[in-house]
Amino acid sequence: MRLGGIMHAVRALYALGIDYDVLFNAPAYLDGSIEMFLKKHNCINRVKIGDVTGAPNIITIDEIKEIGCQHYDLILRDEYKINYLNNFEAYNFTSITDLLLIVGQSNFQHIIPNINKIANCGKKIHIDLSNDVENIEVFKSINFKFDTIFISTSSTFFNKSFVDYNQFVQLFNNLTENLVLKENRGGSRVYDFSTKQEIKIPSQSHTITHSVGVGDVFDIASICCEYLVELKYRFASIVASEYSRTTYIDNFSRAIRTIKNFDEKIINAHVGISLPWEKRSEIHIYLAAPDFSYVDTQIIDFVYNSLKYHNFNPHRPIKENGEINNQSSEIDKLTIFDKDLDLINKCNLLLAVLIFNDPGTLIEIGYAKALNKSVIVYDPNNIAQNNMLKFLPDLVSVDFDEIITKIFELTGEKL
Amino acid sequence: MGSTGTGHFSDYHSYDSTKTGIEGAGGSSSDDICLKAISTSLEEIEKCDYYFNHHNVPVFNTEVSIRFNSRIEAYNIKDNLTLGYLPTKYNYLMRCMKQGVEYRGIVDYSNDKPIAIINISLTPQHE
Repeated sequence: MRLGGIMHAVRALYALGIDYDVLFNAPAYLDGSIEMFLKKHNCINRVKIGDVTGAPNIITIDEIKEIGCQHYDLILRDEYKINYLNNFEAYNFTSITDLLLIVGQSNFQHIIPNINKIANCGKKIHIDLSNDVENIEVFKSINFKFDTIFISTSSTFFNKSFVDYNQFVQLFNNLTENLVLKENRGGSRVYDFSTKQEIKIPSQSHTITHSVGVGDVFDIASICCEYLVELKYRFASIVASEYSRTTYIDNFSRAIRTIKNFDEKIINAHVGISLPWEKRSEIHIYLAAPDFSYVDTQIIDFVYNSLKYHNFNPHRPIKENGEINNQSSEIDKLTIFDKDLDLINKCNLLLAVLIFNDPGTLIEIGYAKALNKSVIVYDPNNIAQNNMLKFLPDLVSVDFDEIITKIFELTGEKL
Repeated sequence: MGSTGTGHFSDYHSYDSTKTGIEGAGGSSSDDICLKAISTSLEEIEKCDYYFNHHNVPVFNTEVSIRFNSRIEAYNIKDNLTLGYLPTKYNYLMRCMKQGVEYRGIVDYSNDKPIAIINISLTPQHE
C-alpha cells in the first residue's frame, strides 16, 4: 500500500529538488502518516484544507500497469464527504510561483472564489482534470483562464465527451492557455490556444513496473522545469517514464538527479512513440486464437478488452466470421476460410494468443508473416518451443505489458 | 492467521527496510537497471559506417561498446565504426552513461542475408 493522490506529485517535486507546499484533503486517521511522509520529502508547508469523513480514502487498483482498464475503485465513494476548513483562504499565496490543482473528490467550490485573487498576484494556476470530473461547467462560470489544463484519455470527462480532437480541444476554449491531453502509452498532445498550434510529445516506450501516478509526475515535471515549450514536455515525459520504472523513491530520485541536467540534445535524443487516441481505432488487429465455443476463452477476452481499452480495433475472426464444426458443409468451411484470409489481409497486425498449439493459429502466424504483416505472439503459458514459432514473429512473450508496448511501437510514430 | 507486509507506509525517503527484514519495503532498492546486462539486436545497420565500409556485418565475438551521438549507437572497438543503433527502449542508457556506467560486450549473432542482422550482448562496467 502506498500513499497516492497528490503524493505522486510530491515524489516528483522531491526528486526534482523543487521547494513546495501541499494543501490537501484527508481523513483524520491519516494525518500522522501524511505529516511524516511530507516532512521526509522536504515539503515546506503542510496545510490540511479539508477533513474527509464517511470513507477511508482508499483506492483499490486491479491492474497497476494499465495494460487494460485498471478498475480504480474509491472505497465507499458514495459516502465520501469533505468538511472544508478555512485554511485555504488563510494560505499565503504570495510566496509561490505556480499552483497545481489536482482534482480528486473535491468539487472545488471553496477554491473557485479565490482563483482570481491568486491569479491577480501573478501566479500561474494549472489544473489536472484526469480524475472524477464529469463536466467542466463549474469552470466556465468563473471567467478565468488557467495556464494549463491537464486531462487524460482514461478520465471520465474524456470518455464522455470526446468525438474528435478538434472538437474536444474547443470544449476548453477560453478556459485555458494550454490544453495537455495525456494519452498513456501513445504520448501526449499539447494545444496552445494563443498560437493554435498542436505539439505531439512522445511517450518513452518500455515495459514498466507501474503506471500509478505517472500522469501527476508528468504535470509537475512540465510545470517546474526551465525548458521552453516542446522541450519541457519531452523532459516531463522522460521524468514520468522513470517514475513508472520503480516504486522506490530513492532510486527514482537518483535517476532524476542526472536527468534534470540533460541538455536539449539528450532530451531530443529520447525518441519515443506517438499514437493519438483517434488514430488507434484505425489500427485493425487480427486476434489469432482458438476462440472456440468449447474452449475457456478468458485469456482471449482479456486480450480483446485490453486492446479495446487502448482504442485499438481488434477482430475475433471466429466471432465475426463464424465457427465451423463437424456438421459444417464444405461450402460453409470454404466461405469462412476465405473471410478469415480476407480479414488477415485487411488487418495491420496479427496478435496470436497461444493458449495451446492450435493448428489454425500457428498457420495464421506463418501466413501473416509471409504477407509481411507485423506478428506478435502472446504466450501466457510459455509453450512456444518450436524454432519457427520462436523466431518468425516480431515478438513472442509471456508478458502482456511487453506485448502492448510492442503494439504501440509497431503502430505508432517515432518522434 | 498472521499478517504480511510492514503494517505501515514504508516507501519514503531513507526508510531502512533492513530493520523490518521485509523484502520490497523501504525507500530504496539495490536493483539498478543501469547495472543489468543487455542483449539486443541493432537497428539501421545498413545505414551505418561499418556496413558501408565493409559491405558486411561483423563476425561473432567482435568486441563492441556503445556511445551517445544523437542516438545510442553500438560501435566496434577495433576501428571505432558504428554498427547500428539500439532500440528506443534502451533510452535509459543515456542517463546511465551520464552517471559513469560504460558498457562493453561482443557480437553474439550476425548475418547479412536476407537482411543485415547484428545482435550484441553488453555488460556494464561501473566506475
